[in-house]
Amino acid sequence: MKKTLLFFLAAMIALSAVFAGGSSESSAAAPAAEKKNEITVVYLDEKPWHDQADEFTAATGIKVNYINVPFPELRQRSLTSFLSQDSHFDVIHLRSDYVHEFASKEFLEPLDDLLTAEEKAAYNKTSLDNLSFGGHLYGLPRYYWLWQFNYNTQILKEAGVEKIPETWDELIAITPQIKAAGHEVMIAGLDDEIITYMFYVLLNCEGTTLIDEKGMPVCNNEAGARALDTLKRLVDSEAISKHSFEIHGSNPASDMFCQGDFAFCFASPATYSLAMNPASSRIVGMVETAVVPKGSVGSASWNEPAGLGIPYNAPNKEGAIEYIKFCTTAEQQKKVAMQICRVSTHPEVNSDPEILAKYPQFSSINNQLEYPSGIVNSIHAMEVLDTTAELLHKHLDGTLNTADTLKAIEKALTEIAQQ
Amino acid sequence: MKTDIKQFLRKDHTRSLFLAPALIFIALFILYPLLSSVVLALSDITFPRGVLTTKFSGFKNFAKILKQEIFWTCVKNTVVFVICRITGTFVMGLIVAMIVVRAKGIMSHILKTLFLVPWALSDVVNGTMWDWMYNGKYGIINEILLKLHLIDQYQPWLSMGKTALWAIIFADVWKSVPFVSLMYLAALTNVDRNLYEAAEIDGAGVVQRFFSVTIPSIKPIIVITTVIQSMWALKVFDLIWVLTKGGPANSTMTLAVLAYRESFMYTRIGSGAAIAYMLCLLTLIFIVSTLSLSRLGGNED
Repeated sequence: MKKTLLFFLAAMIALSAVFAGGSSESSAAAPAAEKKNEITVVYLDEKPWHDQADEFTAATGIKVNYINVPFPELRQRSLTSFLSQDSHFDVIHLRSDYVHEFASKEFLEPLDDLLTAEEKAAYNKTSLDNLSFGGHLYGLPRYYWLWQFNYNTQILKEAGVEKIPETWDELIAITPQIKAAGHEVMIAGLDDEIITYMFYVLLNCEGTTLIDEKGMPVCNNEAGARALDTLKRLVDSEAISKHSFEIHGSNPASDMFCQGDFAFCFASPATYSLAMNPASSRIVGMVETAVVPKGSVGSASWNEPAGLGIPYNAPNKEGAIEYIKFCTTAEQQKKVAMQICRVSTHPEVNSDPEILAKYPQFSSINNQLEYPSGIVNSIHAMEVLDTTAELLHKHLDGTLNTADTLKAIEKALTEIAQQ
Repeated sequence: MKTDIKQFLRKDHTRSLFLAPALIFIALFILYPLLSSVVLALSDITFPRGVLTTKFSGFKNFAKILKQEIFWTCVKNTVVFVICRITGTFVMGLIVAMIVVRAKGIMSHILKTLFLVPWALSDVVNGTMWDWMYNGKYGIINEILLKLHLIDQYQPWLSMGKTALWAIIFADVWKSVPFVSLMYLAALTNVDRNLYEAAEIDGAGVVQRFFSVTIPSIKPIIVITTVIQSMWALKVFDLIWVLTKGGPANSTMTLAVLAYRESFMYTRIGSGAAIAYMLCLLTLIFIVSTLSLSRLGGNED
């Protein structure tokens, strides 16, 4: 009995060593058999995307297996499929930071050879650059997730504010007036790493940015100091509501804005539509949109250019590229914009009369897009965002002063870039 | 050789056959992952085109994480979390058990059922519920504290570095108390009543009887629950992830959350495995300390 048990144990240890790390490289999984007439798409459970998939099937005969995944899980789901060599997905959602991260690890199929020069020319060059890495294109743009500056006209009237603030300093200056009227000033979803987005916006407003194209920090300078000071003053004066640090992203910020307690909301363009919907808003007819307040140099916003891409091990790449081309045309982007208020990457769609009639807030979008609006483009984007957020919180709670915070950010981001 | 095989086949292998399924399960789901993660912790892991490539790097991953400030922040947070959970569940669990043990008839059944409700919730549900309760704009905890004049305005408990960890500990202790109180209840019902009578006759008061009779009688159960609670507390992940994801500014980041972040968010699987092993080491330290301290009182059980 003892011998049997010992033999069994020894066999398991030996097998574990062989499978776990006996060889320095695991062999790649054999590619799955190509599925000519169907593709698998993974994205959000929203009607316009499902409608698009159905339209594509009707137009091409290619069946779309649509997998619903909540937005916070999209990146992780894609990453898990890459790491497990699962050849299940043909089309995945991409943001420009995902492109850097995934393309650097060769997880994505370059699209350069799958598109003609004419097809590429149909897209806005900036939007293509956002989805490129190392000189290759990895995704086609589907929409912009651009933050806009919305305000509640009723609250500003009650507070006696006649002029919409055009700079962050002006916003801080009217904060006591708004608070005296019993309201809070600005809500934005700044939980976790999203506070770095706010810092990014303020850096752009001062004419600088967080990291360069090589991932090296460039914010430890006078402009960076001004941006950091502005952030601290916005938080200390409660121009940015402390509730902003409890909520993650645009959607919950828009929800809170629509309850009527906040004068301003810095969130996606869908805020306006939500505010105009009597089913979800207490401030119907009281919302307008302005250009994001400026810093010393100009305005800026946060923008997550979203697109569609193809995993390196997709079973049906031909079907996938057809789907991507179909979904990202100006016509399809206009349909989506009309349904769920997504900012198109085609400027002509954003200024289309039909769109403007339904969503007046789109009138400032092309103007806002003239100013810097971007995302942290780094192969270590998540770590850059998390690390910067940690140091920003230390600055905001008084643990680090401005100079030390910028030095710490520079040191930490340099280490990350040099990994 | 043939004779050996024949002899082997003639033997009765019933015991081995009955044990085999459990051994296979342990080998597949415990031994294999354990040994694999040793290899991962001692390697540089990369994924060119999704192909897992391991290159032996010795203790480089361990050396790297030991130099990082965030690792020591997580160790501190983890130790605080565990100590507070053990203390909180001990105190509250004992109070609840002593209330229930004195209840009679239907009241006893009602109390036992009510006190088990928190334990029946999943960690994610528990986390979501407390997230709503702690909300700085609409949360009921703020409303209660405001009405009791303990605060003068609503606070965002989970987004302030100085309160976030305590808020999570409170939510965790609330959920963990029922299991501990159940264990103590079972122990208390088995304490010999004669000991209390004898102590009373000797002139011992309520407090003296509690410390001289009750605690020594249930000490083995206290040790067992402390060991179990520390093991569970060390690996807590769901509650922290749902409530704060380790923020703000890593004030609620524990070793388990850090291991997850390194492995699955940053895809630094070698580092993540190394952190997981450091967590195992910390678990061992806690268990050995608890068992050693329990032996100081002279109880060898």
